[in-house]
Amino acid sequence: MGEGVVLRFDGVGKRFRRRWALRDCALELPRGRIAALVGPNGAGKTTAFMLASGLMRPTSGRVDVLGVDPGRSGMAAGASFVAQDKPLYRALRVDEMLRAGAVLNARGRWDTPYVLRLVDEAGVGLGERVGELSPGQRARVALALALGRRPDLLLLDEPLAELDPLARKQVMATLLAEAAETGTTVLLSSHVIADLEDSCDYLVLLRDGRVRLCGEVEELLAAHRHLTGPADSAADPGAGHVVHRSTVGRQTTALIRDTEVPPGFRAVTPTLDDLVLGYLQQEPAPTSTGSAA
Amino acid sequence: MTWLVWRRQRAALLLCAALLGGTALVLVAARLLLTGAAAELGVTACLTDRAVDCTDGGRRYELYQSFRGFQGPARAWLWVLAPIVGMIAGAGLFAREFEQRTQVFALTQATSRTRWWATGIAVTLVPVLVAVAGLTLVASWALAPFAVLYEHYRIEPVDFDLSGVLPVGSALLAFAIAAAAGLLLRNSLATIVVTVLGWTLIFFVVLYDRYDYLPAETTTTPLTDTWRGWDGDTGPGTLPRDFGFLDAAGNRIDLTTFYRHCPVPTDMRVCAPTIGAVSVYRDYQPDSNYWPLQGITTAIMIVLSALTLAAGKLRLRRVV
Amino acid sequence: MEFRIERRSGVPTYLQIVAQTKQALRLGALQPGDRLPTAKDVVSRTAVNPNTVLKAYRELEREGLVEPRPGLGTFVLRSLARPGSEVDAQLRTDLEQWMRRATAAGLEHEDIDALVADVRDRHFRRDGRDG
Repeated sequence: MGEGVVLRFDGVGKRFRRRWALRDCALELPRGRIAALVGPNGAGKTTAFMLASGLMRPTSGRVDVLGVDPGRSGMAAGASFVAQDKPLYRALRVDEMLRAGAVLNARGRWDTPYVLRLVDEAGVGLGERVGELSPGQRARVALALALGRRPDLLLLDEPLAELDPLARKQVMATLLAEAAETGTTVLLSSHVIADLEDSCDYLVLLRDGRVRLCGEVEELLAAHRHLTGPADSAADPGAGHVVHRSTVGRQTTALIRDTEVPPGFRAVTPTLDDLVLGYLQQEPAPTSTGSAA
Repeated sequence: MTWLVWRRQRAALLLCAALLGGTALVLVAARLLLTGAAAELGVTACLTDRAVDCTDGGRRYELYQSFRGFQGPARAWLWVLAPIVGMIAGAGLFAREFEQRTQVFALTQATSRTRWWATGIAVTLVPVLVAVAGLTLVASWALAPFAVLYEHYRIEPVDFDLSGVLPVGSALLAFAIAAAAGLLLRNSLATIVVTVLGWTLIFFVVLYDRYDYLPAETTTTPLTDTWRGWDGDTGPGTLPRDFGFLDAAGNRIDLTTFYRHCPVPTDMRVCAPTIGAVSVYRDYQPDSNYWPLQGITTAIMIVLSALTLAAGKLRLRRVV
Repeated sequence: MEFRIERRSGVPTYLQIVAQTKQALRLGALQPGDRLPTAKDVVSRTAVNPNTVLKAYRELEREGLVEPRPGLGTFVLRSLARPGSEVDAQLRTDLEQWMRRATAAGLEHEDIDALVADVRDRHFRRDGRDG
């Protein structure tokens, strides 16, 4: 594993009975990034997290998290994982839940004052029953417990799903603030791109169990152009490099990659939204792994 | 880690404690009532001397009758209590983690799967087994006068299962099935159903023959001798296993054959010699085999429990 | 100071932070010796990527406006506030005249913005966009 890479998938596949949830996935996550794992539901995002946290073993290929093969030796000591449903012991009080975190990490890093501070900042009382917390509070307790391991890599599966807008903002702000302070690398998944714009600087795009895009957001955006132009076929926008094009009435819009802008078209740098949607609508889904930058 | 298991299992363990403690209280109270009643009736010998027959009417029979309705249900309850307690403790251990998906939390901290699994089992199992052993001691003390009064012996069915180390083995087996089923099924209700079925199946397939794990001892009585003991009596404190007839060469004569030849209303002493039967044999387990049989039966339960738990562990290693 | 990030403006976030810092330096809201908010502060208020904030601060450092002091924070080195000069006053008067003519000609708020931005961009070809 390279010096600066905290997570690497190398030809990783995962099959459930007859269906491949992930196939031939290659991705690298450099240290210090806030990375977004995006894709439609069922694209394999959760499977990728399960593999990275050692809860599942890959059917093929190699997973490397901070130099450890999690399928073999379990969760890497320097990584933390919060599953989408934020599983916590519902019958316990918050202080007991924190003690559970301390107990389960007795043989690892654990920072009790830090966790207490995070829970306090979240406005969650230590005497409250975990099962009675609001989804937002529950998410923040789960995040506090994950951060309590003082991770170098934080894996978050849909951390914002099912949260109201205020809770989304608070969870994201806490997450980014702690990442800013500690330099923790973050990999978080979402199917809502708006949550990720401005927050993430690295993008991994999954579709149908394959990695379609992987790289720095800035470089990916710079490598693409969002075109608008007349629909007449005389000017074919960047033949062979079109990711996706659609025509409404007399206007064609297209997302193109690494190519010259054809005459008659207006081109702008795509937004993250444009980029992701372009790749999600790409047809037919190419069989080779797309990887840029 | 010990604290966490204890905290998670608190409700189940408290329920077990309540069941065991409540039962112990009832048993102690029953013994006090029995001895009190015997003293009042002036028939304390019924509870200390097996030679005294208390079914022959009068005050002794009054004592005999008044506690008769208690001892049957009490022994049946004790018989099922040990596996029930084991099941309660084992069913929630892993099934509830998987139901609430908290294993995803627990197994992504700095605790290995093996440690999580082993600590969960140890912390739950040890107090349960100790408590069951405690209840067994209380029960044998509390039921001792009942055993004298109603002529039960420790090697006889039910008494054998309620005494010694068998209750502990029984609780262990139920716990192991429940814990492993919880890992495999990941659902509390299904776990309970499978545990009941599994425990019953093992009991009838493997443990039903528990009195025959050691070869029985045999006595023979010449047919010419005396007719006493046709009912197969091998003396107090022993467990009859089989009886039948022997020919002059010492070969056993099949009972079916015998009765086909000598139907019941015939005089056996006349009929028996006509098919060559010269003596009666009786197979029995003597009281001296009580502890060896207890040991073997419990050892089988321990091995089955270990295999069951190991099967659950294998499953845990594969997928979460 | 607080940064306000306009999500839909199309201007890269780090440039917005750079621009708003410079604005504060121009208006005197930030003086030499002042400390810029830490990346953590900015991030917890705006939910932007911490690396974006650091990138903006590096840009300001490259321009010699601020200086990071390890363990303490990032400090303002020099101000951009200019004494209100003759030139500024004259330019402002010209612009106000122009604005009156524009509104008299029936231009809307957006039209004026577009026109100004277009002319400005022709002079400073900073924005990397084509077209």
